[in-house]
Amino acid sequence: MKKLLLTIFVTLFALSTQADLVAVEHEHNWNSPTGNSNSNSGGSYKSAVKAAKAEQKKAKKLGFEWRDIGKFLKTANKKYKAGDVKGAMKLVAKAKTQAILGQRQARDQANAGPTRF
Amino acid sequence: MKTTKTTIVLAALFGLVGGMTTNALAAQQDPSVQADINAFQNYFKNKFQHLSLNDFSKGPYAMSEDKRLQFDAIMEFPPFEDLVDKGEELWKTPFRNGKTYSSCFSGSDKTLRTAYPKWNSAKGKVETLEQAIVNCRVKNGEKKIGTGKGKLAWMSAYLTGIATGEVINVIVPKGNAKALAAYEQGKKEFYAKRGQLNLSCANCHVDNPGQRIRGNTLSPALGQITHFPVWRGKWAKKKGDGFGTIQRRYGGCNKQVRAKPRKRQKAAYNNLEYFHTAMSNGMEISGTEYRE
Ligand code: HEC
Repeated sequence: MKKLLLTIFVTLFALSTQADLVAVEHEHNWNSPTGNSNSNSGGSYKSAVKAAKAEQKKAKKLGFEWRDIGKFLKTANKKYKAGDVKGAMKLVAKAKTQAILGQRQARDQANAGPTRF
Repeated sequence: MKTTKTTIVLAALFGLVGGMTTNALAAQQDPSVQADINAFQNYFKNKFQHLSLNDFSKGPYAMSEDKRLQFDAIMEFPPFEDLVDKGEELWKTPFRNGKTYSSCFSGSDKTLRTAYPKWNSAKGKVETLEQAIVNCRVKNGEKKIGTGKGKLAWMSAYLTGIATGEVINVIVPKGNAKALAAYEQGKKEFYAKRGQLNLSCANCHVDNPGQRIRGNTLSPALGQITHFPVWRGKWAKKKGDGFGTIQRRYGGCNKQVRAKPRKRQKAAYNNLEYFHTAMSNGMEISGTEYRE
């Protein structure tokens, strides 16, 4: 029963961060490419990466960078080079979203302390 | 005449040494820290009334009788003894300049483990035992070595072994605002939710000890540091030899909640270790142990 409760509790947090994720993705309009290789996707990809890295840096500075941001950006680069611009952009957006959520978490946790005693 | 002179010199020396020890003892625990320790320990004592204070050092194995039996069986023939012996050898081997590790520390090797992490007033920061060992190497013209595993973990494990039964006494000196600020930062690191899973150390090791999570039984935060470095089956399988320092473990727990681990031996983890260790003040060092 208690195990179940812990599972629910972890799942709820995971869900709430997912929900946040969707919200932030909608807030941000990153000039989504069509996936067509003859559009000017090179420029928008590079600027998207730059923006994501700037947010990552801010999260890092606060000590709240999430684990996979670097990996997302790395994989995005591979996809981009292989011609999968859409897939690459999606990962860059995810990286940026997580970096922003990390910063929000840092603000939320600024006064964290014991809750049981 | 000669004897009187010797007596006077000796008396002066004793006076000095005596004065030094009383000064060292005079570094009293900050009262707010002591209040935190009492609240922390009482919470766990109430939650697990059948356990004695030192029982908490067995972590997940203190949470069920079955697990404890498995642990005891493994500890009958510890898989890590050779490495601890290597650690002893390294610790006792003089540097090229002829000096030893012990020369960097005051007091007996036996009690080194119990006083760290320590507030270093000269540097204005917390110093861990692992960092002090690296600093000792550098001071004596030797290379830095890694602080997560390998040689340093073996030496550190040797020091934990000889400290078995000694009582942990980490001090945040009363009236030292900078030391208290470092402690408070460590406390926040412990209670702040991090990573994509949005979980704090406390969410797992204070709120849910004894519960199972992905096949593991969660240990209580009280007593988590009495036996580090640990030898883990998991680490032995991965890469390296199985030994890891407490800060290596912090990194693993950060990754579990999908947070980026901090750099070892920098302020964030050192302050966390300061807080985390102080919470187990009064417990005995239990020696190097096995973990899954
Ligand atoms: C998602 C839950 C979770 C979170 C959050 C978490 N840990 Fe852990 N931790 C574990 C699990 C599982 C283990 C392995 C079983 C055990 O010993 O509890 C573990 C083990 C440990 C151990 C080893 C104990 C021993 O005796 O070998 C230490 C020390 C530790 N955690 C400290 C921390 C600290 C400090 C934090 C915060 C930075 C933290 N943990 C966050 C789940 C968590």
